[in-house]
Amino acid sequence: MPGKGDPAVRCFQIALILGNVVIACSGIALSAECIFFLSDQNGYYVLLYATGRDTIFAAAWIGLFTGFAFFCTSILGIYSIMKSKRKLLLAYILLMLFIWCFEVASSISAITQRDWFVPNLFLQQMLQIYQAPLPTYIPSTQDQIYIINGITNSWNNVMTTYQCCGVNGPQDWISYNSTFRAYNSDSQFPWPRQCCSQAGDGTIVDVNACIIGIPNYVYTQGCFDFIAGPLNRHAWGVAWFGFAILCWTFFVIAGAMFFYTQLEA
Amino acid sequence: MKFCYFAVHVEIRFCLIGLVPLFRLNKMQLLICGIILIWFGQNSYSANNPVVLVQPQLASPLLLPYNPTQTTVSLEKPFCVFDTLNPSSNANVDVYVVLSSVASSTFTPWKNYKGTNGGSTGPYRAASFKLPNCASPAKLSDLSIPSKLLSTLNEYLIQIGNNSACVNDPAATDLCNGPLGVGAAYRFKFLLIDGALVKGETSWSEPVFTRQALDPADLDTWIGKRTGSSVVIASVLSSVTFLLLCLLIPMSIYELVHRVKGKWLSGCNHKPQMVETTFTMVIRECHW
Repeated sequence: MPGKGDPAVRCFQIALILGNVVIACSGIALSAECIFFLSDQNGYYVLLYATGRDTIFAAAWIGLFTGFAFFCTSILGIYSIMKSKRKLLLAYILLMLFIWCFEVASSISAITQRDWFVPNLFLQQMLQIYQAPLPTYIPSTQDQIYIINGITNSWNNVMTTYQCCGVNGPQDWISYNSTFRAYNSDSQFPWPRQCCSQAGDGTIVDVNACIIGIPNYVYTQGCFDFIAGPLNRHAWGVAWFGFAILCWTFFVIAGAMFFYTQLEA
Repeated sequence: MKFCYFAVHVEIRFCLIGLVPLFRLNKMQLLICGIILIWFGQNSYSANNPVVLVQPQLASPLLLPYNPTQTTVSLEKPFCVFDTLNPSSNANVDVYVVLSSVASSTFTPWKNYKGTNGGSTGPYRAASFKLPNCASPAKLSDLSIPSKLLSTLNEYLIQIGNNSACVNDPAATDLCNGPLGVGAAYRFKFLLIDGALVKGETSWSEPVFTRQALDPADLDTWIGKRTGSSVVIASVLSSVTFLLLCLLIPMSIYELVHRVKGKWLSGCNHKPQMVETTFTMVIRECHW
């Protein structure tokens, strides 16, 4: 059995402690990244909620808490390795495994849900729900009201902020039937007024030119890149960063298990 | 009077004069025939209306990339098309619209949108505008000047189908530029009107289809195929998790085996102690 001053033991302890320091820092970084993602500055959550494919946000919530849990548990690990306390080390190993499983869930959910962001998904929601009239029976339809208001406001924000129209362009509004079309005539409102070029103070530059469809007076680019782009990047970050942390943590836990077996009671 | 009536329907204005020597109409019948012919001549398409062999064109796609929409079509106004007919300065141009399936070479003008049921029984008069100025046409570069934008658009384009209010309004005037059908083919014709007479016309345009309104419920939202990274992460993480949980088993086995056998191994003491035995043993302190 190695002795106290044995360089091998010391090295191993140092290696495990450094490994835990890295896990602690990575855990905090993961939490921060997930908080940034969850703050959802552009209001994209309701767009995904309406399609039923909001698992990306669930993965981010899990990532937030596992990141913080990694931080706390690795501090416990550093202490127990330094003091060579068996019981604490066993607790550390079991806790780490528990958090490991949740982080695996978060990472796999994020990366598989990322595949769902195709243009038709957002196009269908936009055509069916944008500017739909609110249902009249209030208590039983809060969810529908939330979805309708959320999608309408989100799309208005995105079209105005990023100077885009529809998912692929203004042609989306005139190629498909939509709830918007049912309440707005094709000649006066081929597309919503938010698609019209706006001056700095928010006034439309020229409504008639926008209605006719002259390129400088209506936004001709689609909004898909501005919606799916951030969502894709955030999901990619949560998934792959989680994967990297887990790869590193695997070796730290394995090392801790080995160290535990070498400790005498 | 039978042949006079026949002449009107064949719409050859001067045929009667050729027929007179054959049938020897008396002067009274000739006069009445002539009056009827002149009256019909004002309101009917006549083969002697000069036909300018130019077809109405859609507005340039560079200018209007989203033309036509579901119920509107924007056409270029006829610039310098009727010049050979020497129109007066206050001549008007009328636009006639008909469903492509019922277009024919003859039609009765002066019908409106409601009378022809939106062009399904025959052409209707959709719009009327002043003859565009051939000498100084609208400059497309003026479109970037906001103050001149509206006037330049009006000079250059005519939009068919932009008035949905006049369809159901009982007090609407005869000239109703009602919305076109969705996904239907229409043909257009310009008529030169000078002093309430039809002075000339263009040919019928090529059939123009309005946009079909597709159903969003038919959109395919399937992802197509999984990306490689989802396969990699899912498979690697699942197998590594399994591996890690499996490592618990040897750890616990080793633990149990050690506890049974471990009594004879010296343990870590929390405080250093000298133990006298038959042979000296090094006391190990396990903490830092």
